[in-house]
Amino acid sequence: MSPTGPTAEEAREGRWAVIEPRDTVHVRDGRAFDAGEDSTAYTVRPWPSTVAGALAKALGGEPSCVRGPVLVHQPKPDKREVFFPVPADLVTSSQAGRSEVWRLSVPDRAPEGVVTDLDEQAPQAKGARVPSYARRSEPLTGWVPATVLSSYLAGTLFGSRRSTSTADIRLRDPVLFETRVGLGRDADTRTAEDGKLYRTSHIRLQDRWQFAAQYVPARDDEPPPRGPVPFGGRGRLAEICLDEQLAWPPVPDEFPNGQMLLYVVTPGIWARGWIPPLDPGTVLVGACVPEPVVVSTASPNDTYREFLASRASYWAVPAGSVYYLKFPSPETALVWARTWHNHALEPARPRLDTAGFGVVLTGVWP
Amino acid sequence: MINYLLYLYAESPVHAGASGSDGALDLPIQREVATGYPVVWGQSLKGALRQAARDRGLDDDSFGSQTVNEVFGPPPSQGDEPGVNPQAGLLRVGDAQLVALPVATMQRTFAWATSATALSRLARKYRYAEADRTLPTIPTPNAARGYAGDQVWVGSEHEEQVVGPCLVNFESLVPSPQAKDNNKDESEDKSKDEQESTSEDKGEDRSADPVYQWGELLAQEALGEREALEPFASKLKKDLLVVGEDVMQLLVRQGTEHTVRVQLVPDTKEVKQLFSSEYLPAETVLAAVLTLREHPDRSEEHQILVQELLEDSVLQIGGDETVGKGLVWSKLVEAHQ
Repeated sequence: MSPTGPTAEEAREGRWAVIEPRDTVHVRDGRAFDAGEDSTAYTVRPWPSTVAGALAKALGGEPSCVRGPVLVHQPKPDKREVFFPVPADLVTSSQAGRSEVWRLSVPDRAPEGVVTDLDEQAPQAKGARVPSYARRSEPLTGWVPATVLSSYLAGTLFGSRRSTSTADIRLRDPVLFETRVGLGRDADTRTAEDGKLYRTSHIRLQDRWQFAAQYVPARDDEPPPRGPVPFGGRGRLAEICLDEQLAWPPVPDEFPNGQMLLYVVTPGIWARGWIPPLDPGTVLVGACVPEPVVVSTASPNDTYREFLASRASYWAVPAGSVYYLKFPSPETALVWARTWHNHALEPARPRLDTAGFGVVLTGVWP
Repeated sequence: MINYLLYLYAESPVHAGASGSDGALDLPIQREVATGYPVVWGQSLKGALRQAARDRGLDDDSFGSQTVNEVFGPPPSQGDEPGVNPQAGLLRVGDAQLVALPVATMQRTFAWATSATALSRLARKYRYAEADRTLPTIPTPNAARGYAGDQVWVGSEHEEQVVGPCLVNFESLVPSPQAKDNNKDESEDKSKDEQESTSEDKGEDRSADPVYQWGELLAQEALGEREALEPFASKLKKDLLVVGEDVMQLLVRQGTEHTVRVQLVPDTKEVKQLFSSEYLPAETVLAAVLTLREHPDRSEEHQILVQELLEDSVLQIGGDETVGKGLVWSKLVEAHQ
């Protein structure tokens, strides 16, 4: 951690901010909620825009762009490690107690007898296939450290093995949901008011876990962020500090046969829905995209009309999604990767990319 | 922003109710999902603080409803339009987390159990509040053992103390000369008087012991120099025990009070239904961080309101207030940012 912030050269590359919630985090998923009608509010992991808003508050103005959030684990005061959502093409056994992890593969041709209209936008795209030796499988969820993701992106995670294990990939799931109830109380009678009982869920990170995001300051001499800042709803606060030791997994040195794996770090909101914006000539060979998430944003305003005008909901590709791409040549793939690795792809609406939506990493696929 | 560290010391059992039943327990208390430690949610605490302001007439006479509404936010029914709260309150109230839990013991009736987790969180709160304190080192005992500041709790290797439902071997981080002599010959029986005499009685200086230092800090800052709490402040210095996480997990689950209550049919006095409630026991110590945002014109008035409301007062938190539950002593540790 640096009390004074990185140098000007490092600043151009972006600074890593660590966000430590003081208590729980409450970020609404956008569904309408009124106590007494639909009396349950659901919470989600903080959106990139939630982090961008907190950073803007901490910096005293909007940064040029935000990339994140991810999670960081801090086992010691001077050591933090970045964790990423598990890639969607990793699966595990559905049998209790089994901890094997397998990787889906891209078939040479689409399976027979499967009819889908998904191929209208990407005619050559094929669904990934579960290996034959891993019949009873289910999606693997959780977080893996940057070293494991780096190995995955480099294509060396499994080596010559058919499978690995949740212990080997250091799978963690430090995001816990805490259900809370609230009630409207009549101050005079000191009793609960009729129809004003509601239920919400809050996120509680396990001890020594924090959120983190990289941001590019608006100017080189911008001072480090200063907390506490509001983070999510319900008046919750978070501390913010810089950590110059954090880093993204590196870009691979080469992309044999022009094959590139695109890993989605933060929810992507793209013009073609589930298909990322790609250069002409790049073929989408296959994809593993879990259920879409609904991203809702709004800005605090003084009036209901302004509030309505500022809020929006989008379908987004979830973090952890994986795309298998084929570029015309290894060289074009390398150029593209060096341009977009740890950056946000072009969004469906302006400013969603600088708010942190659609950040991707690149790797290779076998 | 002005940050405050708020200590709460339970005068009577506290029932801050959770969202649903927990097994055979109908009305459990609020707990953290990650650790199982009892907690009082910020939303519950904020509601209690607002009610306290009203009960004391702070919204009528001394400060007026505008000031109270600025600090706590306007009541939900005052918004002109749905979906928008026209003004958020300036006071942000965090969760009140467990600092120390009273547990039954076979000597001195009870002691306070805490853990490295609880003390680390308290240390973090001091950092958030930017309270200018040099905090003691945080003891980290092994999972099933503990550290004590007073030698009366410390025994030889296989000598264990009853702590709630657990048997725990306690060590001292700064062994006294007397203890060193005893350890030379563990088979030598200690006289009863010797066992019961405290380090203070023996004239030992325990000020270098981190456990004693934490006890002293809590006695000063959580209980303060209040006559009614003086015996407990004095006891807290001697009887704070830092236990390992395995022990603490049992204590936070089994060290709370479970009370079976009965609802009667008013006319016949027959039992209509039985239900069980859980309470944080009296003498529990909790801490929360409050943050007061500054107002362009009226910050000073807001600060005075918060101080008057919370400095050295008794609050009502949680449910069952008509049967005497939920009384807590509050104490503020203030720092400017």
